[in-house]
Amino acid sequence: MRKTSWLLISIGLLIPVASIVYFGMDLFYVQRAPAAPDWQEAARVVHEGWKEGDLVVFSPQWAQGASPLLKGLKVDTAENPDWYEASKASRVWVIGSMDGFDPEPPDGWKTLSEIAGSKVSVDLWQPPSGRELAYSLLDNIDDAVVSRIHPKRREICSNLKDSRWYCGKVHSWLFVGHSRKDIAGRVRDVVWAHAIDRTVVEAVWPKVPGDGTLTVHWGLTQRAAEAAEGKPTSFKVFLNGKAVLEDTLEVDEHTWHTIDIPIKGTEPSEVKFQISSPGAQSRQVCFTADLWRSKAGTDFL
Amino acid sequence: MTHGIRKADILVGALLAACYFVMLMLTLDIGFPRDEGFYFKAGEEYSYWYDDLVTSPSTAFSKKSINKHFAYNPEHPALPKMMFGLSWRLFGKMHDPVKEPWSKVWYHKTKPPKPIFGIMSESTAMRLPALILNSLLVMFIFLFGVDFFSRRVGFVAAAAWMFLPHTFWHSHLACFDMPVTAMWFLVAWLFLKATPPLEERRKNRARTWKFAIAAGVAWGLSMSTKHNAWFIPAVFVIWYLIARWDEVLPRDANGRRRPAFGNIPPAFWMMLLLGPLVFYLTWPKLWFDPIDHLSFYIARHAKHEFYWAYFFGTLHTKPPFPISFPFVMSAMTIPGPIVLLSIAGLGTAFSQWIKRRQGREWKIAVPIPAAYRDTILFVFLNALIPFAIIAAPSTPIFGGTKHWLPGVAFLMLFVGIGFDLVVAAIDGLRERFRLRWGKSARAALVALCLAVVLTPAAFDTFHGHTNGSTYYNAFFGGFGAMGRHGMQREFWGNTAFSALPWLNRNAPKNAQVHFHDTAWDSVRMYWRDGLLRRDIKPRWDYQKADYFLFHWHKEFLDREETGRTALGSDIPAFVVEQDGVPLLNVYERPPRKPAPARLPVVRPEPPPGKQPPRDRAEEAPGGNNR
Repeated sequence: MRKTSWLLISIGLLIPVASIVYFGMDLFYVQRAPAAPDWQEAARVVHEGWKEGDLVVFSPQWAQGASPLLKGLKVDTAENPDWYEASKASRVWVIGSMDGFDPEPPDGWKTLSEIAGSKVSVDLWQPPSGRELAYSLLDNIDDAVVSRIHPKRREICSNLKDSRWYCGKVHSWLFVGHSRKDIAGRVRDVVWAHAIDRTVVEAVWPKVPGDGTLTVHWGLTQRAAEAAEGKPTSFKVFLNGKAVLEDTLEVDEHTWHTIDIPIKGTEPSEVKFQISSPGAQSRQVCFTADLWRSKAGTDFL
Repeated sequence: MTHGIRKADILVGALLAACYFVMLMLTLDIGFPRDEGFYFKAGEEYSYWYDDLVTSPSTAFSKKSINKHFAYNPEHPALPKMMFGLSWRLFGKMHDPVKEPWSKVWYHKTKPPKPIFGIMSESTAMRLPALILNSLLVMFIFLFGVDFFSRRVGFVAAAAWMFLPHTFWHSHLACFDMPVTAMWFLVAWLFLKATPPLEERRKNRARTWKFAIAAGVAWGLSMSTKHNAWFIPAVFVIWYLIARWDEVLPRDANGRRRPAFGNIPPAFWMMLLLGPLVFYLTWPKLWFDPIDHLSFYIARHAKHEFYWAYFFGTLHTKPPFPISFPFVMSAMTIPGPIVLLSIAGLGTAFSQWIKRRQGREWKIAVPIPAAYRDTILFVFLNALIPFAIIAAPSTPIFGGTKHWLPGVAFLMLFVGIGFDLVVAAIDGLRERFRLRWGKSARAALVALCLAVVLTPAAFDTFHGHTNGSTYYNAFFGGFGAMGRHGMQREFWGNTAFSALPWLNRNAPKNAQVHFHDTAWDSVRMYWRDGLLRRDIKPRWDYQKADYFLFHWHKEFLDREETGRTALGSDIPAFVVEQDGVPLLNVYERPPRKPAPARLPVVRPEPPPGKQPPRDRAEEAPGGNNR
């Protein structure tokens, strides 16, 4: 009779051994999940140390079980982290658990304090301190001059309501202004500027402070990218009338692009955005732009 | 020859099925997903046809009666819903409209029927037929294993099936996915019993015809359960053409192949004949309008809308869908040890097939104890094709794992074969080291190994069973895989169930709740089962609702924003989570600012002996119970 090979014996024995290891992993994953008292303790720490301008995020960002206990605070409840947006806060509380227990701060950030409980950690981080947000185009949407450039005429959109500029009546998607949309992995606060057929959508901020760096983000919403309808969309940025960025967003592009544009001189600048597409179906373009300046005595640029 | 089933085997199978039934009955705290809500409604409406049947049978079979009672949910066969409705009428504990007048609106035409036995909650009564059939599937798997492989293969396959968190979760529901899995398995078993090799069929014609007729009837019933069953004959034909083509194209005396249609197994003929007949008879909507309704039915499912699936951080909304989806999802949502055993089983079968083809059968150390050489192929095709249907890039993906469950049931037989490898390893060790274990010591060791592979699966099944459809195995991070890998979390509106106790405790009187993805008919059943306070009203209107239950689906994140903005609350008041992963967020509208104070209105004193009229709403016990 043929003997059972060592290979077969090894495979056969590996299965129960792997099952024991698997069970260990199972128990580990279950026991490390925070329970209500763990979240309560984390929330207590945050509440006690809270200062105006702070922000709470989670690590991993999806583990937001503590959020109901953080009422009244500024909490990032998006699906994935956005350290750029978080860096606008003066300090960031990071509630860590499971995979994200005891997280590491991004480059340039400073750890102010760390408290590690049994299942939840609470870290307090400070974003890079050498710069300050001088002007946010989204926050100053009221300053914008929005228009639609048709083949033979320009139409000024003068109806401002709830941080949205409309050309005429309030419309569910024909506007330029604030919106919250799922873009490239998380819900973001953005300037919404849906492309329009045979029309260039234009938004101008005529007096953006000078002497700094303009950080621009742009992209299509999740829904636009997954719909993949229409045609590629042109996104242009002009600084004092000169094109500084020309990008074409493909119909299924999921990326949240970014670029830093230096603005020299202390005089205010005109920043202009133009969005157009030969096929505007579902071309939900969104963008943000922030002007950052060095803090006195630092040279972050 | 098959290995044959003894009475003791049937007893063991029945015991396993009974165990499963008890497991299901003890874990009924599972919410009502959207489709189940629709089937509750259909079951209820269809059940009134039985009244016609009892009071006036001739009326019951009229077109008018059929159109009246079976109008709802015509896109699925009626049989399961008729069973749900029948069970509900027999066993459901309905509300008494006299004692509880407010309950009238929870029922079809505001007339709750009188309970007959009234021994269980209404939802459990609706679910009962599926619970029974799904439990019987455990017995089918065991007996199939005994019949065509060995007792051990059958037992391990059945036990493994019992501890699959997703199937266990689906087994609770008054839906069609598990019943059609059971029916597919039954049809395949009967078909295979009716289709031994030609020689054997000729020897035992009576037995062959008995099982062929049974297979035909069972296929008709399975078509009347869900449309997955339409694929069954294709699987059998493919198998037959690969494995038994010699029967239909035998060589004549000259060595030429001639078709021999008389050799086509009776099971095919019976399926062709009895299947459509049973299908027709068990779907009343076909009785008076067979062509039109069948055309509607086929068109509805041939052009089904695409549901969205969140798979490794990408939201798939339209074709082409990833071919890997059903395979990877199963690898992630079947407990790790069972995945390993199924791989071992498939590997064993494949390597033996190769060795046989190469004429190196002597190299096979642990031959699979299959009744026929082509049994493995039959099981493999029945396992593979349900996966392959969903893997086709143009097939709609529904986000979960339920649509290829018929294949998973057959995969369990490979799990049983895989476990034989573990036993072979134990025997190999004894042989190599010349260990002197007795029979009982060996049996104890085998049992221990089985316990080692099944215990984690059982743990996975019972831990978080309420959210069993969101389970991912520990090799991928457990439930945390949902967040970590960007996978589907909530199923379809059932997680509201876990928020009900919180709502019942915290919502003010007459609170209005936006239930998001939970269907109205599911909410009605929550009321009827006493799981939701009766003054809490569903209101799918962000502007008017006091609460918004956001069921975590990637595709709904924009709606979450709309809801949060409308309610004026960015932070949930309550989160339903499983092992740290949020599945549902409850948003609460902050208290509205008090209305500006008004100048007191001075009313003249009523004349002595006359009291001013009181607010009728204050008088009504329970407030808004009209």
